[in-house]
Amino acid sequence: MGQLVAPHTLLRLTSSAVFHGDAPVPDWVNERLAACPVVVVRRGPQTDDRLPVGVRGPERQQRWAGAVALTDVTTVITPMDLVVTRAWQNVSSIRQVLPAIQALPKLAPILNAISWGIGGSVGFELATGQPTAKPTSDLDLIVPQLTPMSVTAAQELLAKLNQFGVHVDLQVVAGQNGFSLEEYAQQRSATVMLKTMTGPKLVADPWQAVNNGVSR
Amino acid sequence: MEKLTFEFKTSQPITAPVHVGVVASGDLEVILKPITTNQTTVAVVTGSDGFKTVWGNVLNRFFDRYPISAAIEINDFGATPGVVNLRLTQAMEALA
Repeated sequence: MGQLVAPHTLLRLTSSAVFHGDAPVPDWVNERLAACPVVVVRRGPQTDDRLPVGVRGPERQQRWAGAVALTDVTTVITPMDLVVTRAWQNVSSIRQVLPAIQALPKLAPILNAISWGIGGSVGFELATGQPTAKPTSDLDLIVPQLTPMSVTAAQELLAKLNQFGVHVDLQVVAGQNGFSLEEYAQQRSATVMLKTMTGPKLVADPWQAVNNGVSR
Repeated sequence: MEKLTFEFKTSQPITAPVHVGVVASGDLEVILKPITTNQTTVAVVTGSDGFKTVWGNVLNRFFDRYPISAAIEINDFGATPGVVNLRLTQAMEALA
């Protein structure tokens, strides 16, 4: 396999693509794929023939896991692409009123010094035009290779990002690893959860651990 | 959204409150508060409906191992079973 396709990346599939869903695949999965053939890359081992992906369901938090072959992918959209193209500027005025979408042009100047991306339901909506974001949706931000920051600096950054009426969930990522900046900033326990290719684990120093096994 | 309640007879009182986890998709919060009885209640609020049996199994296993007496709240945002177990483990670490 060539380069890693990072988790949260959106893949638009060809019309003849096969989604190898975990059995038994419910009806809604094929209905969603027929309406919008875009899947989200999940964490897990990758080969050219099998990229682990998920299909977003009509209900909140509803997902179906499966895999697709790289040859069945027509377009790759990363969370960062949506920021580079300022994708929120193309959202219809009806959808612009959603707090999570409204916040984006206000957040952009705060983050202009770093590379950042948009995941979750908002990222999916910006990439596909499907109305997946909800009035209560969080804003999932994906930030690759953020320079390590102190707890105080993290608290200050999150306070700035959270002043626009939507809860911002900022994930610091590298390769397939990722952790929540909010969890680091809260300092509620001696460890932070790191999501990895092989599952979640607790780590004492997430800034160091997030780069473990990641070629840069 | 579904609200589930579970009760357990327990024997090991906790002395300080604990709060681990975050509000984020695929994650959950676990909040433990001290109580003065041995009747532990677990209130689960979850966005994923239809998993009462799964939650019951996870919690049974947990209390077999750690019979802590506490008022427990779990707010679930679509966490996988792996994340649920890891957050419960982390809550026990925070108690220690």
